[in-house]
Formats: sequence, C-alpha cells, structure tokens
Amino acid sequence: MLRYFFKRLLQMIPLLVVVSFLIFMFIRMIPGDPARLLAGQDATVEEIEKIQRLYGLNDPLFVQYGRYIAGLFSGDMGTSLRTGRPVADMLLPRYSATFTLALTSMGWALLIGLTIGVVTAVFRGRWPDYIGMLVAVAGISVPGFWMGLVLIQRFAVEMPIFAVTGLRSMKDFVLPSITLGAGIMAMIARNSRSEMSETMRHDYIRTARAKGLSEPEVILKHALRNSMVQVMTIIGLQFGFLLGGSVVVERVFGIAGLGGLLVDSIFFRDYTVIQAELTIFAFLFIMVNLLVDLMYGLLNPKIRYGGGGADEPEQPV
Amino acid sequence: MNRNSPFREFLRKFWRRKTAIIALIFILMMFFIAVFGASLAPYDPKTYEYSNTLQPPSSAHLFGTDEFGRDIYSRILAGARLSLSVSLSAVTFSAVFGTVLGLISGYIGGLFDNIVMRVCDTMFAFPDIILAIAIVAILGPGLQNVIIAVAVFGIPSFARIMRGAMLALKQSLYVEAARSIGVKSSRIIFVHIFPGAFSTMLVNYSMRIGTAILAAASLSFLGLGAKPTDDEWGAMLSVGRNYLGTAPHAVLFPGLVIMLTVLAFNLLGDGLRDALDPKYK
Repeated sequence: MLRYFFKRLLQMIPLLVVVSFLIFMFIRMIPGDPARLLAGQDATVEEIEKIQRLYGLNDPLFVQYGRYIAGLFSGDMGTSLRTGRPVADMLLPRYSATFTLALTSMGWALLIGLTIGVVTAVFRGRWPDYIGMLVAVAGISVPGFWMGLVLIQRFAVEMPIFAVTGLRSMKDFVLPSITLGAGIMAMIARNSRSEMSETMRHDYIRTARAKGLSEPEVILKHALRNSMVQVMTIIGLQFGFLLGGSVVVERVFGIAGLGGLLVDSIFFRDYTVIQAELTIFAFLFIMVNLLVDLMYGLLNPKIRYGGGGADEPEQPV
Repeated sequence: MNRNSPFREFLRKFWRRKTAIIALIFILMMFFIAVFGASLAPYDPKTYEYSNTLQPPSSAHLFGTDEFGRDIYSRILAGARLSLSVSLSAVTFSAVFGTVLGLISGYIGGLFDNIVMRVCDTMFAFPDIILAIAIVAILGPGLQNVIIAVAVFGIPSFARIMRGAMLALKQSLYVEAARSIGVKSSRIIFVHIFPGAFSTMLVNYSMRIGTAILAAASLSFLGLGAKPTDDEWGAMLSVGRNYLGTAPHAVLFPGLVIMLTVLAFNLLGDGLRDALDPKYK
C-alpha cells in the first residue's frame, strides 16, 4: 500500500509542474499592462517603470516563473496588484468560506445522492425509480445561479427564514449549500444507481441471499460497499465541479469566498491573485483526486497490487 | 430494410423511452422557435414600454414584462436563437476537434499520444467553468469568446472517448484484416474505426449541449458573456436578478426555459445511451 501511495504521489509532480506552468503562461496572455493599470490613467513613464521594477514585471519570463514557484514553497504568493496586500492574506479569510461551503454541499449531496441511488436501483423499473431519476436529471439540468435566486426569493424574501446574502452563522450556509450541491447530488444518484444495478447482478449477491441474509444486509453490506469504489471516483471528479460552481453561487449569495474574488480579479486584471487562485483550485482538485485514488486502492486490492489501473477513471457524462 | 437491422433495433428501443421522445419533441420545438422565434412572438422583443414595466404575468403578457416594459415571453422566444446557437456551435466545434485529435492520438500512439493525453489531463484538472472564465479573461468578455471558451473545455471529453475507442478497435480482427489487404490508414480510421465509436459520441454530444447551455448562461450571468441588452436567457436572468424582490417572474421564466432545455438534452442523451448501449436490454 505504501508503495502505491508513493507511486501516486510521484505521478502527481509532473502534473503539478505542467499545471502551474500553464497557469503562469496563461496569465501572461491576458491583454493589458498591469503596471499601467496599477499606476492609473495619467501616470508618467517613470511611475510605470517604478512599478514594473517593484514587481519584477520586466524580468525574463522564466525568472518570474522561478520566483513564483519559489514563493509558493515559502507560502508567499506575491502581492495583489489591485490592493497592494499580500495575496496570501487576501485568500486566507476567504478560503474557509469556500471550503466550508464545498464541504457542506458535498455532505448533503452524498447523503441524498446515495440514498436515491440505492432506492432507485432496488426499485428499478418501478415508480420510486422514475421519481428518483427525474429528481436526478433535474438536478443536473438546473442552472445553479437560477436555483439560488429562486431559493432566495422563496425563503429569504417571501418567507424570511434565511438571510438574503452573506454568511454570519451556519444557518446561512443552508441555501448556498443546497444550490451548490444539487448538481453533485444528481451525479452521485445517477452513478450509484447504475453501479448498484450492475453489482446486484453479480453471483455473490445471489449467494448472499441464498445463505439467508436479510435484504437490507445484502443491499447495504454487499452491494453498496462494492459499488462505492466507482462512486468514489465520481466524487473526486465532481469536486472540481463544486469549485467551479462556487464561483457562481458565491456571486448569487454575496459570499466573500475564493470564487467571487476570482471573478473580481479577472475584471481588474489582478495577475497575482488570478494566478494564485487558479493554482489553488488546480492543486485542490489534484489533491482530492489523489485522495480518491488512494481510497480506491484501499477498497480494491486489485489496483493496489496490479500497479495503476485507476489512472483513467470514467468521465461521467 | 432488414427487419433486424441495428437501426431498427435502435428505433424500437428508443421508442420505448417515452421521456426521451418527449425530450426530442421539445428540442425540435426549440429549434423551430430558434429559427422562427421572432415572427412567432406576440410583441416586438425590442420595444420599450415605460408605462408597463415589471408587470406580473397576465393574459396580455404571458410571462410578464421586464424593467423596460418589454414582453418577457417574446424575449424568450427571440432569445432561443442566440442561446441555442452559442451552445450548438461550441459543442460542434469541440466534437469535431476532439474527435480528430482522439483519432490521431490513438492511432499514432507514442509521444504524440502522450502529450495530447497529458494536456487533456491538465484541462480536466480545472473545473470547466473556471477554465472558461480564464479563457474569457484572456479574450475579453463577449458571446463569441464564450463560444470559444465553452468549445475549448469540451474538447478533452470527445478526444478521450475517441481515443479509447481507437485503442480498443485498433487491435480488433476486422481492422487487422482491413490493414492486411492494404487499406489506407486514413480510410481505416474514418470508415472502419470512427463508426464504432459513433454511438458514444452521439450520447456525449447531446449531454454536452446541456452542459454548454448552462456554462454559457453562467458566463452571461457573471457578466462575461452576452451584453445585458441582448435577448439571451442568461443575460435576461442576470438583469432580472436586480428586481428579484418586486418582480420574481423576470428571473423565474428565463431560468425555467434554460432548465427545461438542458433537461431535454440530458433526457435525450439518456435515451440515446440506453437505446444504443447493448448492455441495456
């Protein structure tokens, strides 16, 4: 297991290097001179040059890239071109809001999604199946920002149960989490249903029934556990969806999180912040998938000893 | 036609999926609206009527009016063209580009394949919408750039499917047979291997359109896509949001139409998959 762990960890390094380099190059392609932007409309040439020197904007690209990577390792993500504050200080307080939101969304999505998946698989072809699948397909079809607005209108404006915007207490996470989690819930429901239906056809399920296990035992202990391997992969991939969705959901609910900051930074061409945010998003996504891969190995001995195998998880469509 | 031909079999299975049939009818209706929408609209979607702003739905204005007194129902009809053409052109672009890339990558293998697949991995490492936002950040806001952004992030999924099929079919007996009688590589790729992956591609295509509509609407909502004055569903929602407290219908109906359209493409995709996949009987 340890060997598998280190192998996966090593495989991550080239991906991280490529990703960070792409982000770095990507950011440089954004049109507009940040020094000019920072100096203001009627800045003199000297002022612009001073800013360029201050932030090292005139150095060769590879020097800038080197500085950026070296900075990352020491926790220094540069200085925001817009506010002049260290990027790390700007991101830190926003990080917890986005992270909590992602976690609560994933939590309820997993709970409800798995339940729907199991119920629909067990009642395949009967009415609970149809209702469950309709809920699931609606979940992947609903535009997150619209759902958020409708929820605000119903439960914050018409019936003032929740706050319209902002995060002051855990209660304020309810509406944003529902909005953000809906799509993931649907994905999990659809995937666990098809996995469960597949698993239920196996011989060992028949054996479990034949040896007199009760139906709940067969479903939960045998079928669900074996289906979880695939469902885990989906969860890893969907984590990215969650981060992406947070951009929109934070906008709708006026949450001061990473996503909202990203959009603002794009409008202001705040290079350093965009760069740091994209790096964090990519890093988080890769880490979560590494974690999923490891759990995958833990759940499935075939992968642990076969070397690889989990490299190409099936893309959910 | 042969009674047991695969196409007949497909039609028979597809017909059994009532939801997919309904979805198909809905989509065809949407295409019809996209083409003739402006002439079907009861009002001119561009006419301002300041004495009649933000009116709730009534018999005169089915979906109510917006902040300029424009008829929302008419704007939605007119907006079908923009909203559908953005997503259709984006997904078609990713399908064509991704397919060619996947075919070549899978057929040649080696270093080229490795590079292409690593790039795809990297793109998968970014959440779709964030990748799109980043692309729009470089190109600047606007619908045309939204199409490019949505098209680019769709490429890897098509490339992967095609490459997977290519790797599986390259080793198959009939491809080997074709090669041994001297069929050209390009002919093997497009005539013998491509059709083998066609059904999976079709399903992905339908599902991707749903995703693309959502992505384009989200970008417009964030102010990165359509202009607020455009008749585009996402942009209508984005503007309507400012009047949420007093005129919820300005948000409700455009969103409902987006959702139903995406739902239809997803249901169609589900139906196609079930009808095309031999695993589902």
